[in-house]
Parts: sequence; structure tokens; C-alpha cells
Amino acid sequence: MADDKLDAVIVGGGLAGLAAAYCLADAGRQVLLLERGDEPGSKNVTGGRIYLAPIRPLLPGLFDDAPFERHVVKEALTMVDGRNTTTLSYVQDRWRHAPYMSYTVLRLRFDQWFSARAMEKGAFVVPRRRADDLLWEDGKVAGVRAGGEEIPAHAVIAADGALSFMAEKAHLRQPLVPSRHAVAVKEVYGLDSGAIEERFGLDPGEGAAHLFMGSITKGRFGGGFLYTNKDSLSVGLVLGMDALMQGSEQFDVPSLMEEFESLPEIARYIKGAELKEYSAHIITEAGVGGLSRLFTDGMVVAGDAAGFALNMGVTVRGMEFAVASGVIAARVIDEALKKNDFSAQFLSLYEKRLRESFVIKDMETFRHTADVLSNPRLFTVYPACISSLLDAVFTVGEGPRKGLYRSAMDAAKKHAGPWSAFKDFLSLRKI
Amino acid sequence: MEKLLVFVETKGDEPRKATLELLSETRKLSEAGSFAVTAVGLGKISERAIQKTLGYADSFVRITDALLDDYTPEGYSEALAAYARQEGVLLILGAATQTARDFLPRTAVLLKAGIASDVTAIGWADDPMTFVRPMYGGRVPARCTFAGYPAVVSVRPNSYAVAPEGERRGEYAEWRAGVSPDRIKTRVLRVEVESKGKIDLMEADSIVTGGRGMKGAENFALLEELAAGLGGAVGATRSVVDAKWRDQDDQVGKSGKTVSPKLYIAAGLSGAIHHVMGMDTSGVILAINKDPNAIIFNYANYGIVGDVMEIVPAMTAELKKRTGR
Amino acid sequence: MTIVVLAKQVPDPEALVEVRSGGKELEIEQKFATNLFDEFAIEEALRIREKHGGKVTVITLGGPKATELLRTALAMGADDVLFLEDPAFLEGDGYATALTLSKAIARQGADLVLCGRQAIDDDRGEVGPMVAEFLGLPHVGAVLKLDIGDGAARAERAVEGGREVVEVTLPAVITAAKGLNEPRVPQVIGVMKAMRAQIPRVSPADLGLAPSDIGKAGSKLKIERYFTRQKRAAVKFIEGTPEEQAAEAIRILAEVERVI
Repeated sequence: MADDKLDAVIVGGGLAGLAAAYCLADAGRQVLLLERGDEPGSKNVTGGRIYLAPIRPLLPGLFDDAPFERHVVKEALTMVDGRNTTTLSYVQDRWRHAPYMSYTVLRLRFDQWFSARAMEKGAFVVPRRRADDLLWEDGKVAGVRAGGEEIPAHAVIAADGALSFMAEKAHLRQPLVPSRHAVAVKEVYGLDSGAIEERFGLDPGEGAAHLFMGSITKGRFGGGFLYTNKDSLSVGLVLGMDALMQGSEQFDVPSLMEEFESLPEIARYIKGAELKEYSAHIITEAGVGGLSRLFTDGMVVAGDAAGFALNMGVTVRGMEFAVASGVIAARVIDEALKKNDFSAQFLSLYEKRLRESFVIKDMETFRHTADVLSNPRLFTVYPACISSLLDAVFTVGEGPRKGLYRSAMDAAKKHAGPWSAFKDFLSLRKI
Repeated sequence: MEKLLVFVETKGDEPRKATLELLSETRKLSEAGSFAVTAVGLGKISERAIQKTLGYADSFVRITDALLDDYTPEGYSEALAAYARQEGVLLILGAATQTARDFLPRTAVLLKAGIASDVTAIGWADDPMTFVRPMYGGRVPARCTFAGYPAVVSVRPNSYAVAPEGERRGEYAEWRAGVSPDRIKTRVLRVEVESKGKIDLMEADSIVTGGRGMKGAENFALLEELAAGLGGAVGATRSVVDAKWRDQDDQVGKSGKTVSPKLYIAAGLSGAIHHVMGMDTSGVILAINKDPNAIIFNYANYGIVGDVMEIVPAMTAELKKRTGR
Repeated sequence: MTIVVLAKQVPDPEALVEVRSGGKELEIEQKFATNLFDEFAIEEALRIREKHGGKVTVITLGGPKATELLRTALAMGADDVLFLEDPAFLEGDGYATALTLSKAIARQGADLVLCGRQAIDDDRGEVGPMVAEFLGLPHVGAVLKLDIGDGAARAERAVEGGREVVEVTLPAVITAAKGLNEPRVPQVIGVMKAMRAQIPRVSPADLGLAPSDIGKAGSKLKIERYFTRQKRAAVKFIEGTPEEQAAEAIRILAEVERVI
């Protein structure tokens, strides 16, 4: 475009923004990315682990030299009932071989790398700039305003995270509803890679992803996580925001974190490790029902800003959704530039393509997950029930033993009413 | 015996306190027979200042030249370098005042000498002699040595104590500098003195600093009363200077002055790092703040959680009772 | 007017600085910023050019990341930049650094040299006056207000209890104090252009300097070791009514600490 307007301005240097910047620059477009942090990644938090299979085809070859941490070969889930824990651990042999299914990731390192790749392609990634407002022309989005400076552009990609101001300014976003969001807190502990491999039973380069649920969140929606990085461990808790807001004393996040980390299972892993980082972030967990509107004249919304994240209870996916939505947004904007048509009608192609991709498809499939997962019994009753049952099965005491079926029935009766248990069982079909 | 030269700076009729601190230290060396110490003044010096200085130094040389009547960095540096060169001195020392830090570096270049600025401790007996100076906003003291001599050193005020004036030890002499007129390229047009007799923050033994917690420029009068009772000065934080309640000259902090008084009272200020860097080496720090979690309490020896408007006047009154001041 | 600005990239004021290896090394968090006082110098140079015309060149001697400083200067509006990049230039004392910079300035000539009054990492305040002496120029230090006239400049600086106005002939070196101006925030468009700019470099040989003249090798002041500051003991709170607290505070300061 020969005029003064930039081809595209991207607000936010997280994975959606960087993916979009990379693609648009690769297509020869003049694209500016504004990131409010000191550098891309400095304000991003993830558990976290990224699933590569859905996004490798979108950016072939790009991730071959990405600074991932470890490829995950072991998945574990622990149900916590006070100090009693039940752990299920699964290793799939396929995951041990390239191409790897998923990797643990450290955002600062990863985002910096991604930013460098985007800049190599010619994107302008400018840190320490916050877009405060949109520019409008005849009722259409025509750029952004950052720190008093007007930056006109043909299209804007709002990739500014879970509390997207840009999406709000364009009236695309629903205001913050606590039940749709969760707060995640995370600590990174430095630990020698040999020690990590020893403690988690891994070969060099291999990683483990471990999720926790139950009494650690005191009966409310949420869970804990632990991921192995090259020479550090990411440990954290996710807590439903409305649970926090109804808060009583026990919902003080730092104390919950402390309690979580004092569990022998966690304490053993982080023993002797050095706390290197502490961060907190808001994540969107509403699922497909909580998506913002995804486009308007001159603008599309990508990544967390659009609400693309999926809590499946046992896994949380956000990063690959961000990357995919960024790529799809970039491609649609590239086509819009070819046609010189930035109308909402043309940009509706963005939503259409998202619906055809795993991004919205997976979110639709797991549409009811949040509801099912906010059943408090999942965090209190069932872990306790399982614990009681296994206690009866494995503990050999002084007196004579009960039969296994008997033990199961006693545990069930003690903790769960049979009718609600049946209902809960039925509801699982929804996830 | 090696020679030390101490630059004497005056304030009105008196040698500056910081100069006397330095001379008190060098006098010990002279008495021990380690070095010969010459105090050097430039341009106009009062008789009284000369006499006072002679209580601390082996000799006082006044370098004269019409071109030295007004301070210019180029004039002072050339004159001092010429004298130092002639005398073959080992070290040229001066208190690290604004003036000294302005012209001593030029003196070093003229002598092809190294310079250590704002030194807080000197290891005279070390071989080679060591000089400690603060770096990174005072967070990291660094011990340094010179690769050769002569060398130039400026010493931070309040690094040494002023000893009682001794008997007149030595001789007064004058030395004509031959300052080249075409070297002098600066000219003072005018000086606007706002407040005479205000104690310099860098040299004060006590400083009372106010922050936003003082709630207004007028309330600094309370701090001034306390400071007067202590015989000290009033400082200001950056936010108070930005709000124009106090002068930039009064600012203590990274972009203001770095001070090391014996007593520092932090009144109604939070303790932001850029402020703390400017006063962290103070002797005793007392902080007064309404907020028990104020960061300043992490840097203080003593803390009072309370209202500065009540505490400060009460302290002034208590001080009056004790000292009758 | 040919204006040269000397600017230094320093660790961010909040960056962690730790003493390691028994005092031999410093571990510094890799976050950088333009030295505060040099920002005033860059801004003043641009204002002078806006008023009197001419060219602004910003010179920096620093590590690999110092290109960020130069790109920011270009984004603010500097005409030219120069990077003294060779690692041999680094870790010089005031003497070696000033000698090096003065050669770089002499190479291109200047009617006015601006720099900050001191760098907030080394806290020396030596380079400005020393560069002036090496170049045989006058200097005015810690300037709060600067007016450029015909062949001379008028500079206002703080002196004890007041202000002094000094006239100095040009060419001269001026060091900037806080309050000289409000540095502009570069426009994003400027930042984008600067990201594409070529950064010219000079080597020691270009400046006619031997390895023994520059950096650590050319320094006359050597750092022997670093120390960790002793932390103060935890604060002792003084309790009671305001009157009691005040009285106790004075008592402690007079009788226990003996600072009153």
C-alpha cells in the first residue's frame, strides 16, 4: 500500500499477536506490533505446555528450532483429599518419538524467540508501547492511538489478552464476568536437569505434565499444575474468579499456594530448588459460550482476547489456540488487503475459518466442560470417596477385612448420596 | 617523604566542613610521619580561613593569580596541576563538593593522572594504596588502586570526622600561578543567592526529609523547625520536588543528591528505591510514616508508625527541652 | 551547528546487581536503559537544532545492546549515530573513556558537546570535564538551562543556595542536570524507521588508539574488588502515644545513638 496507513497494527505481543505478525510479515505486509511490556513475553504467563500437532501444519518448519523446554512423555493426574492422594500416571510410547506431541514452554524465552523470527521476516515489534484506544473513520476501525500518537492502519488485530481493552473499545467484548475467568498463580523453581529427570523418572529431554485437583482449592473450581522445564519446574494453582470473590479467609491465594506446595508430592519435587519467579495472570475459562464477537469493520480479535482457551479439567489449552487464531487472522487480513476490503462482511471470513478449524470446533465439543467442572463434588466428595475406597482396599489393619464391593459401597454412601452420584455420572457424558 | 596536596574550599570566611574532615584525616598521617601534607587554596581566601586551616595542615599555600579570583574549572585545574607538577606530589585530594567534582577531573587530565571520585574510605597503609568508592547508586562499594602516580582523589563529605583544631602547625606561603588568559573561556555573569546560611545537604550532620505524607508545602515548616533544632538541613523527595513544594536543590535521591549524614529522619515518605539510593549510607535512620508497611521501614534503624504532623512537632518540643535550642 | 551528544547505556536503575566470585565480578540483570542525565542531553541537542539548525550526532561507547540507545536517539530525531563497539573500549576508567570519546569527537568536529553530568552506574561524573580538557575546550557542568547565542552559550547552574549564570565561548562541553528539559517520547513511526537504520561503528584503530590506551588496559584507576553492602538490622519500632514516641525517639538518638 503506497499510502500513509500501515497494512496492519497488532495490539499485544503474546502468541496470537506474534503469530499474526510473523505471517503478515512473511506475506510481505508492513505490520507493526505494539507490546506494552518491556519485551514480548514479559507479561505473559502460561502453566504451561503447548500442543504442537494442531499448529505445525499452519507454520511448517517454523517450530523446528524453537526454544521449547521438554517434550512431554508422561501425563499424571492426582486427586487430593487432604493429605491423601490418588495419582494416575500415563506414558504413551508414541510421545517419546518425533514429531513430539507437546512441549513444556517458558514464555519469556519462547516469546522472545518468536518475536525475533517475526522481526527477521520484517515485522516491527515495538515494546513499551500501549495502545490506549482505537482510531475510527466513518464508524470503522482505522488504526490505534498509543500514548497520544495516532497510528493509522488498514486493519487492527486485537491480541491484547484476557482483558482486551481493544475488543472492549470496539464493543465486541462482554465486560468481565467473574465466573468466566480464573486467576492463575505460578512459581518457577530452578532445579538441575539431572535432578528433574531423577525425580520424575524421565530420560534427558523428556518432560512430565502433572495436574492436581481436589481439596487444594477448598471445594471450588480450580486445580494445581506442575510442569517440568529444562532446568526448572513450573508449579501453580488455578482458581475460579468468582470463588475468590466470594472469598472467606481460606481463599487467600498465597496461603492456598503454600498449602499446595506443602503436600508431600509437591514438596518432594521442589526440595532444594530455588524460587526464581512468581507470576499471576487472568485466564479465560468460559469456553465457547464466553467468546467475544470476533470481528468488526477494520478489526479482528485473536487469542485470549477473543476468549480462546479451553479448560478440560485434566488439560488446559490456550497457546495453540492463540497461535492458530493469529495465523488465521493474518491470512484473512492479507486477503482483505489484496481486495482492499476491510468491512465486517469480508472479515467475517475470520470467524468462518475459525469455525472450520480445531479452534472453535474443539471449543464446541467441550462446550459444557466448564459447567461439569464447576460441580463442587468433583473437588471434595469424589476425591474423598476414591481415597476412602482405596484406603479400605490397601490398608490392612488389626481387624478382619471387608470385601471390596462392600468397601466401595461404604465409601460411596459415606461421601456421596447415590442419586447425586448417578446424576454426576450422567453429566460426564457432556464433556 | 611523599607529598599530599589537599584542596581547601571555603564557604564565606571559613574552610568548608568537608575540607576540615579531610584535613583531620591527613593530619593523622602527617603526625605519624607518613606523608607531608600541604593545604592548597586558590584565588581569594580570607585570613580567618587560612588561620583555621593552618591548625590542620603542615603548610598552606595560596595559589594566586588575578584569573583565579573567580572560580572557573579551566583556571583552577590549570593552576592546581601546575603547582602539583612542580612539587612532585603523590596525591591531590579534595572534598567531593560540586566545585571539586567539576574541576578535579580536568586537573587529572592535565597531569595525565587517574582520578577516583567520591571516595568513602582510603587505605593509606595498603600497598598499593586503596580507595573505596560507591557504584550503582551506592549499592556496590568498589575498592580501587591507581596504576601510577600522581593521582587525584575527591572524598565524599561525612566520610571522616572533623577533629578539634590543633595548634598552628605550619607555614603560610603564596605561589604565583601563570594561568594563560586564553585558557579562560567561562565567565560568571551573575549569581542569584536565594537563601544564605542554608546548610548544604551534602555536609549536614542531620537531615530531615519530607515526602508526600507532609501533605503540602506549608507543612515543611514543621520539618524546618526540627532541622533547626538539630542544627541540620531539610531534604525533599522527588515527588515533592515535582509537585513544586520544594526546590530541586533539596532533592535527596538518585536524580538528586546523595547524602550520608549521621542522622537521617524520613518523614512521611514511602521509601521508593530511587530515594533510598540517595540516603542509604546515613548513620542512623529514623522513619516516621502512617503506614506500618511502608517500604522505608525496611531501610530504617528506628521506626514510628504515626502521623508526622503530630510526631515531628512533639520531637521538636522534646529537643528544646533537652538542649534548650 | 554541529552538536555531538555522548550518551551511555546503563543497567536499568532497578536491575539487580550482585557481587560474585568473592568480589571479583558483578552479576547484573540484563535490563538496560539510557542513562537518565544523557536523555536530557539528547533532548537538549534536538531542541537546539530545532531552534538554530544544524546536525545532531549521538555517540555511544558500550556493549552489544547499546544499539538500542542509538536507535532510540534516531527515533527521537538525531541525524546520525556512532557506535564505539569494540569490547576493548569497555570497562575504562574516566581517563581512558574520556580519551576515547574525545578522539571520536575530534574526528568529526563539534561546535557543542552535550552529555549527562554523570552515569548512574559508575557514579563518576568525570567524563564530561575530562573530554573537555582532552579537546582543549571549556565546559560548564550540571546545567539547568541553556541558551545558545552567537559563538557563545549562556548556562544556568545550581550553586549552593542559589543559581549561577555562566557565559562560555563555543565550542564547549555542557553537562546536563535534571531539570534541563523533559525528554520527548519518540513516535512509533520514528521507532519503526530507526529499527531499519544502519548503525555505523568505529574501531580503536579508526581513532588512532592502541589497545593499551583504551578500556581496562588504558585505565589509571583499577577496580580491585567489589563489596556487598552490609544490610541494616531490622527496624525497631517505637511504641506509645505520639508524645511518648517523640520523647523516646529523641532519647534514643541522644543517649543511645549519640547523633544529637
